[in-house]
This record gives sequence, structure tokens and C-alpha cells, in this order.
Amino acid sequence: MSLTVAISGQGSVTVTGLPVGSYTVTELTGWSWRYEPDRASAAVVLQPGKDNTVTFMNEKTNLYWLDGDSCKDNIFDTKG
Amino acid sequence: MNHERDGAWSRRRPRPVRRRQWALAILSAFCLLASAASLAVLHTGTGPLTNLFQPGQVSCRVLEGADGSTFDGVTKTDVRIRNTGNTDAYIRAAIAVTWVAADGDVFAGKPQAGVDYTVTYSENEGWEPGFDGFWYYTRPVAAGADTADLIKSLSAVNSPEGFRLSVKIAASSIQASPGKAVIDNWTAVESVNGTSLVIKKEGA
Repeated sequence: MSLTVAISGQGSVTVTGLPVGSYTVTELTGWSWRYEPDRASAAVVLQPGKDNTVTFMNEKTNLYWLDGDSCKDNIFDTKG
Repeated sequence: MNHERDGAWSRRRPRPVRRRQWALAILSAFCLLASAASLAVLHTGTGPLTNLFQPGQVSCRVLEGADGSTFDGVTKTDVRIRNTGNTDAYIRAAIAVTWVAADGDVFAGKPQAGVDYTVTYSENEGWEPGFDGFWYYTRPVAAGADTADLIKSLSAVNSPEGFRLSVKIAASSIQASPGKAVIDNWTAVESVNGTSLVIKKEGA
């Protein structure tokens, strides 16, 4: 399975309901091009009843050019 | 030897040093007067000029629905991006669709387009998907202008118990000129043809 989540700034996200097993968490560096993560990806082995945390530290390395960002989160109700 | 040289030197005819010094002094004074006159003319002939420089600003905002409309919680329409900066910019967008609980936790299952939600993207209006999964608007957007719609319509159909559909739309803008800015930093931009972006597609 593959799942993409969006995190703004110094935010975080909790993913629940993952089956026990091995996972690879990767930061999509193509989006945040000004920043360099401290690692490309992290391997996680989920075990029953145990929470795991993965942290990516990003350093601003590209100071050139002008850019801007915006993000909007929409929560939907189902029809009917 | 030195004595002889001194002797030869002393036998020379004395140079007209004083006359040359006077000539040099008069010439210098004339130059000073001339430059002072020029400065005076420049000063009186030109009024004060104030040069105001406005720094370039690149920013954007995600817009949805017709201007002034509100989201009814069921169907999202006319998703587009506005260039809120003061210079031309290229714009791209990322769409993350997930299930979320009331506390914000994301459910591991991935919503399926056409099953859990319906979405209609615009066609041939300037948006192209890149190999990196992001959407690229291939034309530069003028300051204050909007892109064409990226999403015409999006509605939730099904959701697991305790979760609702979340559609997070992230937009990013970058200065349009020079083209090197977008080519060097946006991974799916191959080149700039005129002012249009050439996008690397999946499998290309």
C-alpha cells in the first residue's frame, strides 16, 4: 500500500490502522525544494501495541529565487 | 663619479621652473572654476528625483467555488490558484486525499477515486500532471490573476465509520522570470518553451 499525507511547516500527522509490518517513510523533496532533509527515508517496523515515530529535520539550503506557498484542507461529508 | 655628475648637472642651464609652476597653477584654477560652473548648472538645472523601488513578492492562494460562495461540505467546485504576488509566477499544486478522524488522525486506507469519491479534472486548460505526482500549470500567471480550474468538481461518496474524506490542496508559486528559477527547482519541469513549461510525464 502507498499513502501520501501533507504536512505544513513544523506540523505532524498520525496515521492509524496500519497493519503490523515493515514500512518505509519518505519525504517528497521535490515539493520543498528550498530544504534539505536530514535523511532520504526511514524504515519502520510496526509491532502490535507499540507506537512508532519518524521525524524528518529539514534545513533551509536554497536561498535563491522568490516563491510562495498556500494550503487548504477540505473535509467532506458524504452525499445523502 | 658622483662629483662629476653633480658638476655636469650644475653646468646645465637652469629650467624655467617658476614659469611652468605658474602656468600649472593657472590651468588648475581654470579647471576648478570650470567644474564648479558645471556643477552649478547641473544643480540648478535638475530638480530632486525620488526613486521608489518595490521589492518583488511571489505568493499564491487556493481558491474554490465562485467568488463569494461557501463550501456546502459535499461538493467542491472550481478549484484554482490565484497569484497574490506582484509579479508573474508559475504555479503548481499537490493534492493529498485521505480519510481523517475527528481528532485529525489519518486512516491508513487510501480513498479510491471513482469509488469513495468522484473527481473531474479540467482538460486542456493548461494543467498537466508531472512524473512526481504534482500538477503543473504550464503558463505564467500574471499578478492578481487566477489559473484555469484544476478541479471542476469533487464529491465524497463513501467513507469508513468514524472517518471523513479529506482533500488537502497545496499550491506553490515561483517567479516566472528568468526561466532558470523554475527549471532548476521544480523537478518535473524539463524546459521552458517560449513562456510555456515543458513537463516531464510519468513513464517519459
